[in-house]
Amino acid sequence: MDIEAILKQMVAAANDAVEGDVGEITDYAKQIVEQQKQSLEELAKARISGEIDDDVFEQEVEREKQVVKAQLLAVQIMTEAAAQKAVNAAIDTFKNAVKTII
Amino acid sequence: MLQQFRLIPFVLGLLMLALSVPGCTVRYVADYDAEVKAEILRIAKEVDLFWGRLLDTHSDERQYTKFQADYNRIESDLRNLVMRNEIRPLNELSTEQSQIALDLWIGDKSSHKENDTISDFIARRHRQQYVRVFVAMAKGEIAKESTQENNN
Repeated sequence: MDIEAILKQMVAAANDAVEGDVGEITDYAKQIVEQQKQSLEELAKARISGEIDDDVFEQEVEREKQVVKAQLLAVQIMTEAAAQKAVNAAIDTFKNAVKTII
Repeated sequence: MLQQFRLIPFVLGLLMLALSVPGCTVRYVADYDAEVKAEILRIAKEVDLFWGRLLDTHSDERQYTKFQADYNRIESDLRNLVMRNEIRPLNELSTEQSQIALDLWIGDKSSHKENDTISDFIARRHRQQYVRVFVAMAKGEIAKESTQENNN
């Protein structure tokens, strides 16, 4: 039983399983930051120009926090889903390797 | 050789793990539900139509009563979405997302009722924020879908 070879196969299988996910999660995280930046800039301009008062400004800041929270929850789900795929791919590889030996 | 011996407990641990988990797979997220994804997209469209209609209405004519029925219908749709997410195992994160969408909607409804109007600035801003929230919910469902493709 070549344990090192099996471990390498498991790592390779886990990597293959999440190949596209890492980039997708990173891109979405960047998009969240950019959207939040734009949203807060728009809010600051509206307050400075007097389009909204202090109360509305405060309410909108709190609201923006909730929107970003919903987006970060999506990142968490995407990450957990990717982890699930990686672990299952590694376990499958391990099982197949053991079966081959038996 | 010595390195191989050090790896044996790790490999045996994995073997035990693989054999002890029913179906020999781990699950961190809920199973994909195509109906929930379709429902997210449907409600997203309803909400966007709502803001479009409101923005097409002159600001002096945006009395709450004119939009009350839409508020109630969409609130009911969102409550149903929260419930559908809540009853699925391993689905706490999606439940929290849909609860945020519901809270934002109830906040808009209360504010409109209290002020009996909504400014263009707020309507445009909130319309865009709902797009961000619904996209986030849809991305969560798509991530679950990808785990099932992997299992098949």
